[in-house]
Amino acid sequence: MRGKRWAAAAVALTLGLAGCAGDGARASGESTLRWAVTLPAHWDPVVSGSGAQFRILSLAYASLTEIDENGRAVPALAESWDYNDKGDQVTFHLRPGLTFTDGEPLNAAAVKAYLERAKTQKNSALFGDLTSIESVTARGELDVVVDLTQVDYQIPLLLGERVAQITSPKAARDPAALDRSPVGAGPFVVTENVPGSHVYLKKNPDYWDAANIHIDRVELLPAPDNATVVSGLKTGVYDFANLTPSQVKAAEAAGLDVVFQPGFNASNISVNVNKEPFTNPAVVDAVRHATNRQEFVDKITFGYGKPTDQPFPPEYVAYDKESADRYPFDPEKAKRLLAEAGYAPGQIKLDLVIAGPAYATAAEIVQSQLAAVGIDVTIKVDPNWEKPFFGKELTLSLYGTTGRESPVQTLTAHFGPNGPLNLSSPYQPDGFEEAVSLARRTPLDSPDYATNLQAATRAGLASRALVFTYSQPNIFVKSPRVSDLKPIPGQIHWTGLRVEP
Amino acid sequence: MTGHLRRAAGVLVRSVAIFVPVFLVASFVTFALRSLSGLSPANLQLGESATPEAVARIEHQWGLDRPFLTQYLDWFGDLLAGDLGQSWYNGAEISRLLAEGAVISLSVAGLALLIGVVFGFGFGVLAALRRTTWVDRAITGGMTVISVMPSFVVGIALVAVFAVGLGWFPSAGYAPTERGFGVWLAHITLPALALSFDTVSDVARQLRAGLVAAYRENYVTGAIVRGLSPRRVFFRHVLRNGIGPALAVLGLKFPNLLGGAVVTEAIFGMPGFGQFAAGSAQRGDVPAVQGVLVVSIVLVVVFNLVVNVVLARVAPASARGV
Amino acid sequence: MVRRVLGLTSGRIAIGILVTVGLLAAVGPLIAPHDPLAGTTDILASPSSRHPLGTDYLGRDVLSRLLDGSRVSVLGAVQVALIALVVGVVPGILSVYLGRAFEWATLRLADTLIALPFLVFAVAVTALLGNGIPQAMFVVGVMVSPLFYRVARAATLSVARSPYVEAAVVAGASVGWVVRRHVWVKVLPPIAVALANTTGVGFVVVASLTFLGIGVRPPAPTWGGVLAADLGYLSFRPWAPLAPTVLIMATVWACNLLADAIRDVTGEAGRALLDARRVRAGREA
Repeated sequence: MRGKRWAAAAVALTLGLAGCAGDGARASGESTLRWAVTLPAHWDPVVSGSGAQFRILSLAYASLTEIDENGRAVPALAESWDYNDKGDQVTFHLRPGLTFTDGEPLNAAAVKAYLERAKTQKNSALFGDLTSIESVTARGELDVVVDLTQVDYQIPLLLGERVAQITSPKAARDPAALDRSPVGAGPFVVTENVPGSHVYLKKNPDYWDAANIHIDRVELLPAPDNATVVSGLKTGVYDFANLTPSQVKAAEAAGLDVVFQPGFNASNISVNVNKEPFTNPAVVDAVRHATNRQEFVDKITFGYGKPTDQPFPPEYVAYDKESADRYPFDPEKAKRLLAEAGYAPGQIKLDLVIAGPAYATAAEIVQSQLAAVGIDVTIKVDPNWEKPFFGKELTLSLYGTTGRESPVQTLTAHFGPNGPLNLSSPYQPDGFEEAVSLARRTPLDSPDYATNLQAATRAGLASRALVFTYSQPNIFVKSPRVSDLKPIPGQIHWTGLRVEP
Repeated sequence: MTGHLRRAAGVLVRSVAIFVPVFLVASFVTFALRSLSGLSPANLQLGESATPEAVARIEHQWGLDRPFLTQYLDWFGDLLAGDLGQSWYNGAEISRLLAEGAVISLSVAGLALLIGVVFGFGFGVLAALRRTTWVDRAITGGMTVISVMPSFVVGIALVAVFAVGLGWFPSAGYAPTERGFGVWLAHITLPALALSFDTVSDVARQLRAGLVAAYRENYVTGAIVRGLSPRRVFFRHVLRNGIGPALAVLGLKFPNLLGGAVVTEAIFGMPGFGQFAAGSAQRGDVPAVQGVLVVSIVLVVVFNLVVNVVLARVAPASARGV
Repeated sequence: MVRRVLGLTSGRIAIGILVTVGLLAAVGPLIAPHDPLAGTTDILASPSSRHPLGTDYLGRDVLSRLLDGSRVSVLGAVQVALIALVVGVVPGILSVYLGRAFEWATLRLADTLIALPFLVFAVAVTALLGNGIPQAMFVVGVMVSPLFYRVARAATLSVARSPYVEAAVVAGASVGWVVRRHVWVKVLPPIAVALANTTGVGFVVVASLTFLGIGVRPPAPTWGGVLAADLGYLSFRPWAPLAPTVLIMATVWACNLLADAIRDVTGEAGRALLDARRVRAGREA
């Protein structure tokens, strides 16, 4: 009756309006990229420290150098660079006439100010990566002279997107404000930033490569549950997002583009040897032998990844074949080691503290593998995980790397005494420092480069602080309206990318 | 006319008199949560290695070392002025963070309420008018089935069928009205539908029961005997007197809508109120959680006030019991 | 009363389902075909004779996990109902006898609790005070107790004013005696109805909270947790959410059915219904 007629009308109205879904959204001609991400907790690259977040920060910041498809350093803010004969000083020549979005000139003084801040600011996440840099001098407007503590040819690779996203010195006078909203010289500039809700950016016409930026607006939206990412892209809510391997099938079925971006990822189990029971090397060895890498590859990457026992995928230049399979999967041996160390099965009880649901499956696998050898693990999710992890307070955790432009930086980040991924700081394995120093001294085009790198890896792998598990390429899903990504390892380059309005 | 106004004002005053203590008690409990939880901004900002001096310094900065009552009165005073304090997590104004989320959650809850009222009344009236026939039994049975479906189950089913399967609606996210009214409605329809099932079934059942009972009353027989048309009988007598329990239950449903939002927002990826509450709670950001709780209390109280006034206007008999 | 409820078909169905679920909670882990915590390499498998409901994302048998998880749900739901009962009924009955101040205070408190959205509070409080199902259930129990308060109070009021109670009081009976002899009998049926309804609410709350990840202690399974995990792998097992959903819904439906059945067999309408049935049975005999 009446109720029924109302109901019918309401349903018709709703469906009719639903048909308009996706219509009035885009202003004619303007191309907008809607990217579903975990909104950055820190917009200051000096403080951020986190792996994948620098990709988001690269929207607002430009770096001194970038890398190409082969992982070689190419010019960005710096047009060129040259070393002195000895190899312990490198000068970067900046492009002229660049400014930050707040009007400050992007000159040698600004770069110097940034590098010094990265080295000295109290909560800097980068200082452990900059140990080779002794001092930075500004010579004239455009020349940045970097004096090194030793001969180190890695610097051009080092000062790329991961480390040298240059912030405006004026904005950096209030680091807390800078952390909340970025001020840089990148391809885009922030127009609206509501923490927890969204960040809108528009094209920055003063970017040094603005001619090659074809996107007018970028909208950063909080990434929904993994399971709804595909639906979100299918219905046009997002154009671009990270994709977990379990959703690849669904994305392909929905007609979306799945992109396997090359990368230097490697996931690990982080151990703190300064805390019980890991002060006993036998316990760490037990964990090494209890780890079945294939299970991670099968259950987490669905076959899209590979097992690895080093901080990079097996095809990487620094991967040391000699050290491969040094601690094969052997649960019986693990049990024996624990018994010899005097631990009864179930006696060791540990908390495995993880950052969030992204690590949940891996955590459950670790839990069951350690339970099989008699170690009792409780999984705890800590939304403020960064503090205790980077503060080296946790005993056991899970993390991974998205890689670094400089292979030496990857090694020091994991194995060095101040490495952000070294949960056992300041512990470092014997011989590592010398091996790293040798690798640094080797010019990139020398025939000994690979050998020396691998020797450094070998030395680092003696570290009891890390058990590497698997490596997986970066998987993105994009709407067909977004053009192809350049296959730059681990990074997203915004130049050349187009979005059909 | 003034008689109506005076009665409405009377109801308003009486309702306010009841809900003021409600608000006071609830806000006090909410505030006491901080002491009970033992959490402090030091957890969020310093981590576990905080030295006692650093912790003390931060707590002093936030004014947490003052006596409990002083803090409470301060907080309460700020509350009344609309200032909900600052988040321990990122220092942002909680009122601003909440306003963003509230718009989203209230859009969904509002639409859910509308659906609940429209369909609930529709089905209830239909069942009452065709009572004891197969129509009535079908509707009653249907309402029973609907009432046991938790909102997140409904939400998942709706996404699977209507968004992913048929592609009629987007499956996630929220679009502000600036992007177009149609788009906005498309995004909030499925979550609102998921939330509304509970309300539809309860309103339908209560209305049916109320109307059926009203039909049995003497004055209805009298009206029919006097020759009034069935439609007149229904609208002037039965509906006005039978609607009481249904309206009352509507008032009770609103807290459920707010609560259900926590889960539907998780499923539909909407950065609303519920998500903000859950996220802040997980992070130990006590002021944010307190802000959320206070706002939900206010919303529920205001909603109940409105329902009470409408109830008094439409069905004066039920108002007398307040 | 139980016998009368069993006399109704709806009552039999309801009690049947609830008893089954209770048994599953008690002995489920014992009759489970596989270890609910043991992963295998056969992940996301479809139902087979070996795994009647298939396996999950770590290769664990889904049927075993659901059986194991029934304990959390049942205990949680029962906890909510019992806490709501204790916290609500006692003040409800006492509010009639302990004077106006007590009455006013408890009435206002009940109004407060009803006004609060309990799921938001449960999430907030458990995350802040300790992330566990028992804490959450305690909070929810307290927050739904006004239902029991009002039911107990209404029933007590109706009895307190009845002539035979007044007579008993005049004859010198104590409050305790009056409560035990008269009030309790009148109060029991509506409380039973409220208990059944609240247990249903408890199941939904446990499912919702575990769905959100609150109170989930991996690798221990919960119905809501299994459902949430299923959502992440819909493209592999699109029918997977059906099993936990049916479990949750059937249990909640049984609780509501039981509540309706109790309401039907007690009270005026109930007695009339039973009389009518008896007469009909007598006629047919």
